[in-house]
Amino acid sequence: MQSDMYTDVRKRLLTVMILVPLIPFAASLAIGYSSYKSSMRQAALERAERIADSHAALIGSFLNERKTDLDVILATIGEQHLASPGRLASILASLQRTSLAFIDLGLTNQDGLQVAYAGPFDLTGKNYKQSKWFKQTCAHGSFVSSVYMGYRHQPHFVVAVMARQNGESWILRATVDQDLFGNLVEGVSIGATGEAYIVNDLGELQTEKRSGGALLEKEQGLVPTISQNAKSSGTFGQFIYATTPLNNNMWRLVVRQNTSEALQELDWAALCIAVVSLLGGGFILILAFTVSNRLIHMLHSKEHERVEMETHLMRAARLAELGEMSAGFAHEINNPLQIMKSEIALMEMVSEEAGMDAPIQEEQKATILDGLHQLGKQIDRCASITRSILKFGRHTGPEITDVNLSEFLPELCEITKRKAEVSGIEFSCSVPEGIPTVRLDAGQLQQVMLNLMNNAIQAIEERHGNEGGQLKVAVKKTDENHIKLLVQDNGKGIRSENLERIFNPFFTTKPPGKGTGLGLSICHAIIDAMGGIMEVSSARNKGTSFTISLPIKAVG
Amino acid sequence: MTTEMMTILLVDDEERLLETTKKLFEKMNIQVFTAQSGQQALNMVETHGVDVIFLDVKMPGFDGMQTLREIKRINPLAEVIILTGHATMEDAVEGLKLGAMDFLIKPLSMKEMLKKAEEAFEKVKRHSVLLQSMKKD
Repeated sequence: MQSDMYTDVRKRLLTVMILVPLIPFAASLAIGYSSYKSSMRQAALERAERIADSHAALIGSFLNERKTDLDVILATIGEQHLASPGRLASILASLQRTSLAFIDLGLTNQDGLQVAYAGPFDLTGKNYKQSKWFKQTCAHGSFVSSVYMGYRHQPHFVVAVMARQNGESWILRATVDQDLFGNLVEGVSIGATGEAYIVNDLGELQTEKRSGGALLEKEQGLVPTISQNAKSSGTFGQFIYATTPLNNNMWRLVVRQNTSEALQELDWAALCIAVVSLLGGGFILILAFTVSNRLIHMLHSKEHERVEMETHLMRAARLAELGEMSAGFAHEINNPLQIMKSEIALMEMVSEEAGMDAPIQEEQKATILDGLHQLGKQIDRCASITRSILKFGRHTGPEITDVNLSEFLPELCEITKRKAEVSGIEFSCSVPEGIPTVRLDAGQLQQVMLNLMNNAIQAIEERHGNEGGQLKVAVKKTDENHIKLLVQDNGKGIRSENLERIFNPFFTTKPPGKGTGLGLSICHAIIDAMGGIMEVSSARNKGTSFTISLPIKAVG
Repeated sequence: MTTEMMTILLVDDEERLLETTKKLFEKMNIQVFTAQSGQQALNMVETHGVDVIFLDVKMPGFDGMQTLREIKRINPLAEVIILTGHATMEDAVEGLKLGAMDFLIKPLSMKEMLKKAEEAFEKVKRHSVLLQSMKKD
């Protein structure tokens, strides 16, 4: 039972000592990790946005430069000069000397007819009246097209500008080198999985994707969901992305990176957190175990000390009880001794009277025999007292045995009876038939009963002196499982204000040095440990009765 | 009452003790009365002149100390010797304060008892002579 309690306490202690520090510890780690993760993600997004912005500016200025190139040519060189294929070829050659951006040049009149062409394809005389780029250029003055197949049946895009001369409109158009433009767009550096590409408003790829995707292929998923003419950023699938509109919102530049790569540092942070949790958790566990072990050990030793102290107190109370009894014992032994002395003296005197050598007379013989008989009687009386004393001292260690109350109680009463009789107390001890045996420590029960009887005798003496006292000790069976012991006196009684306190340790009404105040508290503790109940009722100057209800089967 | 013959009163609750001791003293030509309780003892003191009283203090009924006080009131000249089986310091001090001549613990031999009785009787005689001479003046 005791060790169960310790296991229970240990469990609770451990639970508290582990959970209390562990919960905030784990929570702070989790919060730290999640805020670190979100700031990492934010940083990755901002990086992607920054790159998208600056890259879009670069691409935008490249396209503007190309338009400007064509504007300058159209403005400075007249359409009549440009219309000659030789002149156009020489202009293309001089343009290609500074930049390889242009593959070909073509001059188209206002009816869409290409009047002159310089470049690798044979496109002179083609009519572009129905082409989108032609219509848009006519409408806006300049235009950069999306990638399309055209007459050459190859994906390409064109830059076109329009000028009015002599009441006629002329359009100068150039094809941009797809490889050069592709390299320009793709040329961003963000990690191993980072890439940049352009899609148009129909979701067609305008540059090749490094992660796989040819020109004019439809972009799946992400791009169609994004607003056409605003910047955006976020995560889609396994990517972190940022987009920026380009080319009059016809195109969008997409910069994206694999989330796992962008947040790579998180792995390191997670590893750190794992190590810290392991070390911290281990520390908490070790601390909890050592501290709780130490506490349990302390509890153990305190409990041990308490038990030791209790044993000492019990022994002290027992000795006090024995001291109380000694008055009765001494009186009862010294009286017969006195009788024996006087008997011997009388016998001596009678024999000396007759003279040493004279034969013993009948009358003298009778006196001497009577004296001897009386000696025997008084010796028996002493012997019965010493037997009682031995019985009192016999039960020392705690030892639970079957106690037959119909023998135990009369023996116990015998010890007290003499003391009571000297004080003129009418003593009754009633044990009815059929009282069951109880399993308990006889020594302890004896101590309790003697204590109660001694108290009763004192209370009677204080009220009645040496005459008129009554002390009743009785036992009865109350139900199948319980017996009730009664010690009732007609002594001075206990004041009602003291009645609640009589079982408190060190409570006494005796003058200093007369009582320890421990007797009844120890009795109460003993009966409690036996699983019994000890109760008291008292009326001032009428008497007191103590009842002890005990289970027939022992507890524990 | 105070003659050359000593009169003793034995007070004890043990009947046999009274009997035997009485026989012993009588064999020595000493007059002995016995009482088994304090009340009886007081009656004896009132009706018979006694010189020396052996008194047990632990008796049922009338308390020994109370008996002692009463005896001293009725007959201040009589000497009381307390003879008890159980001696406590408190009893001894109280007894001597109340005027007991001695406080003796059982068991006591006949010889010692006789010696104490004679000492007490000497004292009684001395006191009565003193009292007589004072009366003459």
